[in-house]
Amino acid sequence: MDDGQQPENEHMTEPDTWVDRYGDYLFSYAFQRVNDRVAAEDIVQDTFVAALVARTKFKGKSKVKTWLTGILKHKVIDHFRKKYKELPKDNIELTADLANTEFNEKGEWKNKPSKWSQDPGKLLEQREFMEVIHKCIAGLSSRLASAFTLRELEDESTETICKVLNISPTNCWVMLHRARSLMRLCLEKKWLGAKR
Amino acid sequence: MMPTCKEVSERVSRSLDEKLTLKERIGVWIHLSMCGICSLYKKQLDLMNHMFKKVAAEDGSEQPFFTMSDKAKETIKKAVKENMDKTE
Repeated sequence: MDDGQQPENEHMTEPDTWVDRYGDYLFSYAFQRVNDRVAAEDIVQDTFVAALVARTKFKGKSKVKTWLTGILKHKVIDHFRKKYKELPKDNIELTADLANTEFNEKGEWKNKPSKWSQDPGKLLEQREFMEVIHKCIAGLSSRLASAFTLRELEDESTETICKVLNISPTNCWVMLHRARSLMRLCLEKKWLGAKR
Repeated sequence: MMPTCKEVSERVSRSLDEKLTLKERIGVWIHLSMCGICSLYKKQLDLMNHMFKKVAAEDGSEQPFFTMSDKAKETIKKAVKENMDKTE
C-alpha cells in the first residue's frame, strides 16, 4: 500500500515461512551469480541458517528480503573464495581460440562484430532471451564466468574479484576482457546478430 | 604510437573497470574516430554493460527467473526447522 506515508519498520517474518516467501527469489539471485544449481541451493540454505542466528538483530529498517539478500551476497563470496582457493594464481585460462580468432597478428579485426538488430536492454522481458544470457554465461569457463558475474551483476571492484577468485591483479582485467568479448560474441551469435 | 584495434578493444573493456590514463584515453578516442568497427564494439560493450545493470536490478517483484525443485525446498525447510529449534 503506497499512501505516501512513512512505512513502519518491517517486522521479522516467521522463519518457517521463509522458504516459501523468499526461497525462489534468493535461489534465482544466487544461481545467476554462481551458475551451479546445487551450490546455489546450499548457499540459500546457509543464508537461512545464518539469518536464524542473526534474526534478533534485525531492526526492520530494510525489508526482510533485502536483509536476507545481504547475507546471501556474503555467502556467494565465501563460495567463490573456497572454490578457487586451490587454483594456481597465474592460471588465467588461456582462451587461445578467442585470441586467435578475433584479431590477426597485426592486431586488426579478423572476426568483426556485426551490427545488432536490437538493444539487448530492451529484450529482458522475453524469457527466451534471458535463457540465452544464461546459456552464454554458462558457456564461459568457470573462473571467467565467476569474474564476469561478480563484476557485472554484483558490481564488485576488480580488486575484490582478484582476491576472491585468486587471480593476480594484472590478469584480472585480461579475464574480464575475455569474458566480455566471449559474451558479446555469444549474444550476437545466438540472438542479436540475426534479423528478428 | 597509435593503438591497434586489439589494444583498443582491451582498453575499452578495461575502461569499464578502471580509469584509463590520459594517454590511453587519447589514443582510444583518436582510434575510435577513425575506426567504425571498434566504435561498434565499444557501443556493444556499453549496451551489454547497461543490460546487465538492469538484470542485476531486477528486484524479484515479478516471478524469479530460476526456481528450486520442490525436493530442494523440502530439504531446506527441514534444515531451517532444525536450526529454529536450536536457536529458539
